[in-house]
Amino acid sequence: MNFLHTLHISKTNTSDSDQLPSFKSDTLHPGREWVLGLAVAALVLVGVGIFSAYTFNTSNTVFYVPTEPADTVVPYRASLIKTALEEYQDLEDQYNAALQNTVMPVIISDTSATTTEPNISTTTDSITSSETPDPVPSDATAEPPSLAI
Amino acid sequence: MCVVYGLSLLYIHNLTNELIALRDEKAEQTTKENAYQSLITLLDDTADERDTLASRFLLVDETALFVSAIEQDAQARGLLLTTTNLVRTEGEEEELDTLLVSFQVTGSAPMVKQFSTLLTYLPYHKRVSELRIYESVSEAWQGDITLHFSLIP
Repeated sequence: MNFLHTLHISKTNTSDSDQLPSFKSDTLHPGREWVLGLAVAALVLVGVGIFSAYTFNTSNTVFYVPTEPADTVVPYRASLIKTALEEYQDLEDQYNAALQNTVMPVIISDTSATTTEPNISTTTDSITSSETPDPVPSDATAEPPSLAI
Repeated sequence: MCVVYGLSLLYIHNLTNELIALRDEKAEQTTKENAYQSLITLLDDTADERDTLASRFLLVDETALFVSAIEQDAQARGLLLTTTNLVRTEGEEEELDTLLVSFQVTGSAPMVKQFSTLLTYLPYHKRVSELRIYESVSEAWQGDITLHFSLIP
């Protein structure tokens, strides 16, 4: 209603066809519309910028977060290997000691010569065991051959 | 403008998913490479130990030579050695095959004892299941020994 009151209709001396109402409105302000449009555009731009920044921050970790590789420790029981090696070394030492204590028969082609083969014990000796016996010490008269070890 | 922006966001989102997949794949590949390098390093560092341990096992192909060497050694010592049993047994699942060897040694008492001792001290992965030394009827001594050797191919 106020709009109508703002219209100023004036009659002139011209004809009726020329007597069109002349509008002089206070509501049409192009400058204000421009300012309002630019303000809305700025708000949209700022909103998009904020959303873009948020999206970038949330996705940016994908590029920079280091991914630690999984633990790749290969199971190797060094202490068990060391123990096994020591036991085998002890066994080899015992074998060599027994080998050094063995008596080798000396075979001489001369029929008059006698061998150094020890006498056979007359006592009955029977051993049944799963354990390894102690080396048998004796006087070595020759270097014994070793088994293929 | 909003449509273009939305499409751009969707495109970036898809690229992000692809990048995440590539990152995971790269991490898995890095893990495998690290495991491979660790294994190679471990193999190089423990080569001597493994060779030493491997030498304590009897090879399948050398079984005949091994038994023959024992027989020749007994003969060199003036002993009469007879291989009474020679059986190869396949191991179950992760167990190694075993070679059961039974010897009967005949000779003088000290020589039989010494030779039996040598056999029991052979530095191989083995088990002694029987060791008997006794005087036979003909005044000669006799030894029965049974060994179980672990075999590796």
